[in-house]
Amino acid sequence: MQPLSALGIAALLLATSVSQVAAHSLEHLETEMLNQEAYFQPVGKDAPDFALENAEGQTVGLGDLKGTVLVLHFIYNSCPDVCPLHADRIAEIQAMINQTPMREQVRFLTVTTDPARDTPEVMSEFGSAHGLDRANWTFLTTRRDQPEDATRQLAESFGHQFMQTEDGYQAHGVVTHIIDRDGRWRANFHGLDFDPTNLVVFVNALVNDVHEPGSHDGLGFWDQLEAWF
Amino acid sequence: MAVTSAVHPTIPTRRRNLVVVMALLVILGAMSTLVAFSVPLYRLFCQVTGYGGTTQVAASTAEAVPQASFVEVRFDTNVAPDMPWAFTPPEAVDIRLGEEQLVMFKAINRGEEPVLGTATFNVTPFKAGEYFNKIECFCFTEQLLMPGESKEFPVIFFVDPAIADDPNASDVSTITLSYTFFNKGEAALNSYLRDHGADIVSQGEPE
Repeated sequence: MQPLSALGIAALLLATSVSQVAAHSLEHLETEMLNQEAYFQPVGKDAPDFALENAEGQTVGLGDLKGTVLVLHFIYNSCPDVCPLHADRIAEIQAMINQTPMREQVRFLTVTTDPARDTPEVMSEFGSAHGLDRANWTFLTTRRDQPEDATRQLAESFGHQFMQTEDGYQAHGVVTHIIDRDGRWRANFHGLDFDPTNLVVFVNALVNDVHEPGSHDGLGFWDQLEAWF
Repeated sequence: MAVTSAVHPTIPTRRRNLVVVMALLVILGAMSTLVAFSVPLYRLFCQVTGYGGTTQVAASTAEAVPQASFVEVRFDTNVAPDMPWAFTPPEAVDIRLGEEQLVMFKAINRGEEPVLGTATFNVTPFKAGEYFNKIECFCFTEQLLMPGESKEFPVIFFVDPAIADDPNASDVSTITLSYTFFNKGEAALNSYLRDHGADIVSQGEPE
């Protein structure tokens, strides 16, 4: 190695090691995202819990999905304008994420706010029509033992407001919610005009967000002792 | 004439006897506890010290011992379908745990228009991700390539030696660092060119 090259690499190592903690941290990215993405809203609190039914009739709760980054949105099939566009945008993001190893660590959740009409069959067709990949896409609706408005109540706990029109339409906002691997509600991307690469990058940062090396299976002394007894 | 000893002990003597009895009871209790839990305690002792041939946690298999200090790191590159970029990974490296390594990725814009990209990264197997530390990388930052321009992207990383002590990850001998470039699109490109126009001109013509 030439002396100048070695000096250059040494200088790079020195310069970068100083800022290694902040360089690509989630906090740093959130700050950058606030500057770059007008439709990004950091949240930072526990996501509202739910126990809904998927298309196969199984109950799915927030706890079942821990360890996976969630991209969650609310729509209904008979929505005439923004819902189909929102589904298209989610499918576009899913296609971007699914071309990377993130496909195994991210799940897309579509929750209907019109469970009376949006049967699993209807929503399966809806998903296919909009190009949503079943590999990591889940449709959720109310369970039979829940009140009909359970998903709308959930949407309200995510900050949505509903206005029922005379012709049966539900006016509500278009927001894509991002939930981290620990069930924390980390951000909203509002509307449809956000840059999809910004959402993908934010999800990527959450997928790679590490709390403490070895923390996933760290049995302490007393845990081991207790286990033996 | 002999003096008859007292039949009833004095109060200090009774107190001393009580202390002795209590001490014996404590010792008896401790010994009983040790006997009752001798098997798990011995197992714990052996696991902590390695005594008696018990394998320690850090070395899950005999073969894992030499592998624990070195790991092979491979690199993988991808670009979104709408990007006319050729994105090339560096050669795989064998590195010692804890050792910092510098590698260079390279991208060339083979299109006829400037393209603004941003990259995401992933580490596989996923269980190795928490031990893979990047000090410097180009992920999350916007990268502009003019038509025909090529650029090298340095990545400095190390693998935390703690991976060898994790029973779930100590068997990892190969780690893959994967990058995917996405096209930021025309609106972001125009915004970038507006904000950085002067810098781009001052850097001269592309390669």
